[in-house]
Amino acid sequence: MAERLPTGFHAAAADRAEGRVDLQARFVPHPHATFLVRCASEVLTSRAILVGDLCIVDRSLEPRHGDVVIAMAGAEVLVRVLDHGPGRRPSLVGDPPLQPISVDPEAGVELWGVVSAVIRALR
Amino acid sequence: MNQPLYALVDCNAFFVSCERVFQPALRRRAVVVLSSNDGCVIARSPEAKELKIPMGEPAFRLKELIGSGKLVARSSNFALYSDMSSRVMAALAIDGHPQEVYSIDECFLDVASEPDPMAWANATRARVFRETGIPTSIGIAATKTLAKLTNEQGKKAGGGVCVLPLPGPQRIAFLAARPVQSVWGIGGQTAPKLESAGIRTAGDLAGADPAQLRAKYGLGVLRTARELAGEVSLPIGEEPEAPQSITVSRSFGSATSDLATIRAAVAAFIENACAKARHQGVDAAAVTIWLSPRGFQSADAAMTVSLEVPTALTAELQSAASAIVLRLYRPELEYKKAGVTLLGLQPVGARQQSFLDHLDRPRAERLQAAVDAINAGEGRRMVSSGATLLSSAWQPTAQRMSPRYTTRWDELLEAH
Repeated sequence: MAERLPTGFHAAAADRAEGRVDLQARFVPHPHATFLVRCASEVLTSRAILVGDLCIVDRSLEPRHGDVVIAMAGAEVLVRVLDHGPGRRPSLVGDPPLQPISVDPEAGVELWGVVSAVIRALR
Repeated sequence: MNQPLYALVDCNAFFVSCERVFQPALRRRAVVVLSSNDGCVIARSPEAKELKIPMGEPAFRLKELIGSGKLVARSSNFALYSDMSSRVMAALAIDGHPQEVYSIDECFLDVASEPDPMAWANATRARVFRETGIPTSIGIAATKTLAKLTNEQGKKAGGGVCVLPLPGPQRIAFLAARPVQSVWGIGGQTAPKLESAGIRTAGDLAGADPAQLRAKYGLGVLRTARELAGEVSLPIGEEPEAPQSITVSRSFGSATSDLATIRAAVAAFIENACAKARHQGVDAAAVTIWLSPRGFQSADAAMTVSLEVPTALTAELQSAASAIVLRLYRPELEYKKAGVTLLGLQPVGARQQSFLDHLDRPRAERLQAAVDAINAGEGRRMVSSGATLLSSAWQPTAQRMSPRYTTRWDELLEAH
């Protein structure tokens, strides 16, 4: 082989062949189903979700009781907590508490996606 | 081996559906999307169809409907549609079925390995909707041509999934009820000829004499007829051989992240490559565009699209190229080089019966010949397409454009 063989540090590094931790792979496992939505409301401050935070919304996830979700209600886009405890109809609540909104596609209130992580830039 | 089985997945009112994913106010309302420059209607919601608004309706005629609040019009937002398209296609690729993306809102899948195609189609449709928000309809049949015909039925049936009946009386009735001009691959010029020869329905075409079809209408029509008869002659991803190609590429003077500059450069490369192709007397069946970011920012990005009709017309390839550049371009990168490659070159005479060819090709070719003649006499690029002018002035006026929710940091959806 006429090519130079790698030696020293580079070769050692290549031997390890372990990928650097990958934010995209960790937080966006389903890229085609993942959308970024900006929080523009103070309804979830007790969940430490603040105005300006970036919500990673993974629509492939099945919504569960207690999830932070994005929902469409009439003409509004909402960020809320899904309250779907045993024996109860699903509803959207705030934290601190707000008047709950029943999830009811017939009435134009539909879940849009589950917020799987939140990003906040500090500078 | 399993019987061949193909699914055609088609997004319902795709551009309108993309708008609706992010704008709940548009749900259940009559919505149209306008062409660039807000010229005419290019997509309609079912509610807009009910208002009897035809495709291609000039926007100025909609003023009253819009003014009275009965209709919402949106400028086309191709950055959004293109991204949503890639999401839908990725969602459909998950099962690992061989896939052929046929257009921005349609793809074929080879689903011969599915034990229960109907159940697969229903589950897939539901999953694509959940993951992307885009409603689809799915037609399933033994060939791509039949799947496309069946898909229309799925749309009408409302459930969105339609599986072609097995050979027998039901299938005969199905094909007999479909006019020949509704068949994929039968162009606007061929249909009247077929009709005057007594071939009026898809069923007539399926049963017509193969030798006569080939002699009178060419191999393309024969293939279509075979497909209607249930015999696969257009398998997934069948691409023309590419014995040669034409590549034009150049480094930029300095690395740039300016989209208008990159588009103008690619348009100029296309102009150059097409001139070469016409000089050699060949048409391209596909075009690849690639962009090279500076340093190690990111790997080269490349994308190839097949052309519905092989062509060497500058304007046609430029519009294909422009769409690709928009797909590849990432505003955070600086690009140092770009290139175009024309693939699947074939002699001009070899052009097959075309699918969905809306272009007045002889006329476009005469115009191109006139441009070439002027350029030959006056030196290169005396007459040039507007797309190559370095300017952002080409940007379409899009007064009713919604935010680019998925491609711009400052236009993300906001939740309250």
